[in-house]
Amino acid sequence: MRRPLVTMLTLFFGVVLGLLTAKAALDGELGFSRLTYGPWVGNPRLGGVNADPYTKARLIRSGELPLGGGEGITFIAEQTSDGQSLSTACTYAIEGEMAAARYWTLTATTREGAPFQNPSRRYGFTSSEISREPSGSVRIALSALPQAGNWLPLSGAAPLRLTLRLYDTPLANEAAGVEPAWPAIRRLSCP
Amino acid sequence: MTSFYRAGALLAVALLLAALSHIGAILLFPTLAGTDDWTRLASFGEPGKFVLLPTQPQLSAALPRSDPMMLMALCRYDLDETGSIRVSGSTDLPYWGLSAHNRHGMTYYAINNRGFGTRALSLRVMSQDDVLRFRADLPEDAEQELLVAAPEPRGFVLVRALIPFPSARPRIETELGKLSCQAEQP
Repeated sequence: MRRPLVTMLTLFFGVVLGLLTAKAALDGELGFSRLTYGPWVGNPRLGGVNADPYTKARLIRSGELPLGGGEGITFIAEQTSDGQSLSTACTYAIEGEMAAARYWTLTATTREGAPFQNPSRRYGFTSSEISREPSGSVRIALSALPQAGNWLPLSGAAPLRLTLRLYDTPLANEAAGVEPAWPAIRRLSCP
Repeated sequence: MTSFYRAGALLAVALLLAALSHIGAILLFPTLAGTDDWTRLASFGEPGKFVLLPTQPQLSAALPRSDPMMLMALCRYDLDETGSIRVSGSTDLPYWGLSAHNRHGMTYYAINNRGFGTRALSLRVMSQDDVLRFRADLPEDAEQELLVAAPEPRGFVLVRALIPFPSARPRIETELGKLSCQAEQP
């Protein structure tokens, strides 16, 4: 009387375990062939027709259309260069050289990638509108209070994600080989 | 002792089942997902012409994690109905990127405006067989055209145009509107 029950439970838990691990694998976002430069993580092969089955399932699930290799590459950061988790309650500075690209955009979003709504509709910066340091490097301040220079407004106290999109960049073809320049993310203050 | 072996066998069976259902779920996901991007994006317009996608925050609902500093135009196609489609137009945009996707949204072709210089954009999407047929008997005015072979009849073309600064948005919208996406009988 007990044996069929135990067998059935075993089969049931086997299938449930398989489906749960499948779901956990699809909750991740970036796939297997990642590039990591400091706090920035990207995947140059995201979204191609020859992507691995996990990446395909993941993209179909989210509805996202990633940039193709001929267009550019997307990098995301959810931590500072020191490894602290990013939050909209804190003040940050993004400083340094940008990787080689014809254009880039930098946006602040939720962890799901939705922009924060704000009255000035300032979701981020493009390389065209940024004011640069005399040395040519970039400094962007992120905070709730206005700052001099390039200021990206934050509000509330939610987990924050920064997305750096490089358009028309040699990196997208993985041909770089050399470590490119990357801006650092520093936390200046946190309540 | 037998119960020990029995527990071991059950555990092995459970793990085997777990592995099988895991792999099955991942591989069958595109088929079982029910809807695809081609159908999902149907609300933005009929196949065979460019439609400007909405701006934030509606854009995030339609295409999550897309760049808010990009203006996007979408052209869905069904090659079984139209034969081939031609994307063309002369625009003055600082940056545009064109990508062609199959009906699940996977990119099979991507190019940006550096490849065109000052030339007008001209590109045809057609089936593999039609590409060969078209090449064999190339019209004289089509020598400069890019021929893109679509892996399956249904899909869409997406053009992303950078808005370099907020005040440039109306100009970028006008320029992007000059692109056309037409069905052409081969």
